[in-house]
Amino acid sequence: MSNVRKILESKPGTVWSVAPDTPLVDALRLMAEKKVGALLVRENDQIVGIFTERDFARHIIRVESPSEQTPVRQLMIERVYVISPEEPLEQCIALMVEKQIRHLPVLENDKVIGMISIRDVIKQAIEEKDNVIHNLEDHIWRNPT
Amino acid sequence: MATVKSILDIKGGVVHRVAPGNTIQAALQLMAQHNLGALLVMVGERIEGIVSERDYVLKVADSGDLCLDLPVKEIMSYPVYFVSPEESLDACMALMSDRQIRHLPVLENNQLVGMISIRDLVKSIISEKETTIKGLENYILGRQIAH
Repeated sequence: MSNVRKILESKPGTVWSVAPDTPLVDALRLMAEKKVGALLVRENDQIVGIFTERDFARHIIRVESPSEQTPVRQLMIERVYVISPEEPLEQCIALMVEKQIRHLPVLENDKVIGMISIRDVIKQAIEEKDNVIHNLEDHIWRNPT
Repeated sequence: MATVKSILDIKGGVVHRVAPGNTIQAALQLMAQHNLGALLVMVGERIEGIVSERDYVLKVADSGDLCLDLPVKEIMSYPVYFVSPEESLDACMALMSDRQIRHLPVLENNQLVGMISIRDLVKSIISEKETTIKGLENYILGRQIAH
């Protein structure tokens, strides 16, 4: 299979991020507006966390006196798994399945160049495997015994 | 071609559900407890809707309020897209992509027999296609050796 860069080529776009002290409701509005399930949390150009729909739904019920103004910092995940654009898709799928995550920021020379979701990865993987299957079948068809 | 049934055979048919009048807070607790992204909203054996993390995010974004005490019927999605156990995994993936959903209840003769998620599909589709490719490669190799 090909690599992460291939996905980014067919899915150019901004990686949306917020600051750690952003009120929850503003982060959720950004997600809804941009139709994304995850935001990077950045402070002084450093990645300090990732904030996803999953983390919000899981952790809001554990926050003491939660409010729509609760800062993202309290609900973000600080351990951010990242991937390089040269990483093969298999590696990407394995990481997402193992860590139970749906989003991976893509880093090249310490710069964020994209974010890929489990949906992007599976779409690309299916397309490529279908191509291989098609080619193999074609080869059999063209070379009768 | 692998079907939905092959996934249910491995993961089982338990589907977690809430009543339409249960609070969002209660639904989120159930999701957290069972590590799920969506719950079916049911009255008896009747499916009224489906409630997912995404539905909740959109509600808070829209209302500007955490709404934890609202009943889930206020945020659930319906009608609910579902599949049969005989459906192919590719068809399920296509439905999830088209509708931008991550969960599909499985119905057989109008009876709920399970629920599959995008994560279940990822694992199965990849390994199934891998097996097909191996099989075709072996077939070609076998023919070449036979020659």
